[in-house]
Amino acid sequence: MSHPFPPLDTLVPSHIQKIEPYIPSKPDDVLRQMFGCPVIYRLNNNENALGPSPKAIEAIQAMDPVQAAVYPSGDAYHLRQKLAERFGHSPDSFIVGNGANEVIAFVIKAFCQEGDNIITTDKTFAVYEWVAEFSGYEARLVPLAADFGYDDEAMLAAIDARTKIVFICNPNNPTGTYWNETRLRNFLDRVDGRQIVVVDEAYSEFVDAPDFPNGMDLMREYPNLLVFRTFSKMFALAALRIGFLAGQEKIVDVIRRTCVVYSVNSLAQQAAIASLLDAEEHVLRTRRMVSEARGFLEAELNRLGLSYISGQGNYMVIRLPMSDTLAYRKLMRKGIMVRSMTGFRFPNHIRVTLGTLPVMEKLAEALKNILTV
Amino acid sequence: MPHRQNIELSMPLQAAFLPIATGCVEQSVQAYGMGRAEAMHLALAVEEVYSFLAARTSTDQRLKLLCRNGGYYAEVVCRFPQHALPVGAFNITSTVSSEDEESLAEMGLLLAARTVDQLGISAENGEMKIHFVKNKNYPSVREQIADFVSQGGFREVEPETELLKQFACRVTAKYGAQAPSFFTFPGKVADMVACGEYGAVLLADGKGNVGAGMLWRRGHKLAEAFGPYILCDQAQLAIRSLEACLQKMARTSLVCMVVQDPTPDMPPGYFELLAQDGSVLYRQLEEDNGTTSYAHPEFVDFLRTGYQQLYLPREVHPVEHQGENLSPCSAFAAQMNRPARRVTLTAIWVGKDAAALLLEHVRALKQEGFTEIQFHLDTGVAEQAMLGPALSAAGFIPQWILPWGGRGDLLVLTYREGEAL
Repeated sequence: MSHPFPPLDTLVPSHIQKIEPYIPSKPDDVLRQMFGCPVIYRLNNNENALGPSPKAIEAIQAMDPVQAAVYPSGDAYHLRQKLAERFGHSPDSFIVGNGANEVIAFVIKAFCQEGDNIITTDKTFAVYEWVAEFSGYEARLVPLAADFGYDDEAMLAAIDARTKIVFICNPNNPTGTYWNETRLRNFLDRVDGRQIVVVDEAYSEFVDAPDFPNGMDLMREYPNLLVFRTFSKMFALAALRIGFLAGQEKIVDVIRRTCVVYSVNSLAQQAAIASLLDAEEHVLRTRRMVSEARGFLEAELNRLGLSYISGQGNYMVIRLPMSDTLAYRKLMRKGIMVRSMTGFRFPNHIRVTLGTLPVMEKLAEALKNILTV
Repeated sequence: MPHRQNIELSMPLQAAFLPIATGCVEQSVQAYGMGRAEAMHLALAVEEVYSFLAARTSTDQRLKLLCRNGGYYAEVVCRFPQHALPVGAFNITSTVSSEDEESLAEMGLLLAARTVDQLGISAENGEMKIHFVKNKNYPSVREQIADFVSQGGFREVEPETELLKQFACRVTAKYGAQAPSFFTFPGKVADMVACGEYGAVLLADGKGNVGAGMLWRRGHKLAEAFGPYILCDQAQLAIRSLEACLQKMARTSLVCMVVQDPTPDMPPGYFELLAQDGSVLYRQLEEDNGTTSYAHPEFVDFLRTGYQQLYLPREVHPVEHQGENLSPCSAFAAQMNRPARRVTLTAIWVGKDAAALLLEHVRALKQEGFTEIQFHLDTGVAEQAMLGPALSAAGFIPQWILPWGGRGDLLVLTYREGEAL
């Protein structure tokens, strides 16, 4: 018996009707087949080419398969203890999520209601904007300043009585620009606790600039400050999906009301705990790799006459004299997967992950090739 | 235009209720600010469909009517049980014989198709939908707009009504017939943007003089852009307009954009060439990670070569008619550009009579003086692939591919005299 199809035009809220689903890229085996390339070097997601730290690898290998039958710790109990020791806060100052994307959703759900808005920029990590919009809240996009950094004055000017959250990606993905401690403090002082300020430090472990602020310390002074971190980038646990937020207990307690518990699996929790054990060596090795890659690639791009935006983080943005989406397809044919940047509102730019030198050499060769063919 | 202006009606398909349907259409369309003549045309189209259905369907069947304010047009959608209506009657080639009673009955449907500016037919979940669209009438540009001396300081401004009207006047003055004809109706351009179907970027100086801009029509996945139009002596505004346009399209449902017959102001390095003569520029707005293209074996090689040249990841899946049941009638839509003597055909329904009907379309269009006849074949719709032999037989030759121009890619074929098999 056939049943009537539900009336989607009346069942689906108008703000959802306007949104198209995000379609992630296909798995590597399918892409290899479709683009006809034997291997794919992933330089599109800012993954750490060195992989997880040795301790994390040990932890992953040590996972007893039988434990797959048992629910994980619902609130990442042990990991929160370790984070508390590492950063000098109480365990209840942390919420662990299924990747930092999940904690973005927790925060927006906790603070926003109909008619509210959040503030972010036009050229930054897209998830703040997406989550706000598919939740029915306005995302106010403040243009980046001419130096590709966040424009603090314009962000302050965009705040109104219905602004609940301001998102600052520090360092910014994809431009690698950052606010130093003085500038961040100044911004927090001027917000003066009226809004929640989220500082997304997903790439902070890659930064070696001495004036880079540590949000984990600043949150002691600023009760409206929340800090996001992830294990996906520096700690190379992207496949396990684990990240966290930190803030003063009273604020975190509010956010916890919107959390989906049990969303972080046991393997991710164990690997994250282990990552913290040898973090210092792993961070140094990775920074060395990124620094070599950046030096090499900048020299090659200068030789090719291509301009670029190179700041902090394990990525660079390159301006091309052609459509970035065409460049994406041409590079895919050569097995090099980059991020085309029209979607970041940077037409004719690509973002590449800085990885090992042999792969950077392949990228440089492929770029030279697509510019001449 | 606000969704809340929609008028919906559900009624039994019985002749006694016809005045409710036509009255609803007539009054809704006038309430949307359109003239009585346009309202009557739409009401007549609905009357013909309603009468035809009421005479042929059981009394428990219903018709759902939706009137929608499109800003610069009004649309009426009729939804009713599938297969209740012969779609072939809507073809531009339909004729009526006074000898044949059934044919006479279809005359009303033919009239319905002729009274409106656009017609669409689709079927989904056991329901057929007919869309009738009537455009609003606008006055054309009345007088030449004065040139202005540029002092620089151009910045992006909100595309408000008066600025859009000024933009349209300046585009008409500078580009004339090179620009699409809608620019000669400034009020229409303002309404096209206000209703959300079109987007606009305008760069104006401190005195409110519009120095450059672009316009684009938002399709399902494809945007068709117009411009950049540079209306002062500052050529660098072309890049600013184009980049602003691309930034506005980013993170929307749009997958790609196309610019037909670009002006000399188009900056280099942003587009791919689709047609060999440079008349079609194309650009994707996001990463293309592949799809399946359905094609008749006759066109498989053309598509594979084209995809290779465009670096597009596609799996070309051959499709042939292998005796399975087809609808008896086909229907093709014809989008006409009479000043350019250009017409584009698309398939809305593929049936057994496709080959003969296609030949009839070509003959009729040639008789009407069209010199350029294109067929846009949607490779994302498997049943359209079956039109391959009919297209070849009618003289259509594959020319180029418009990626994501339909549900999948569009294979653009052009009619060549003497190529008919």
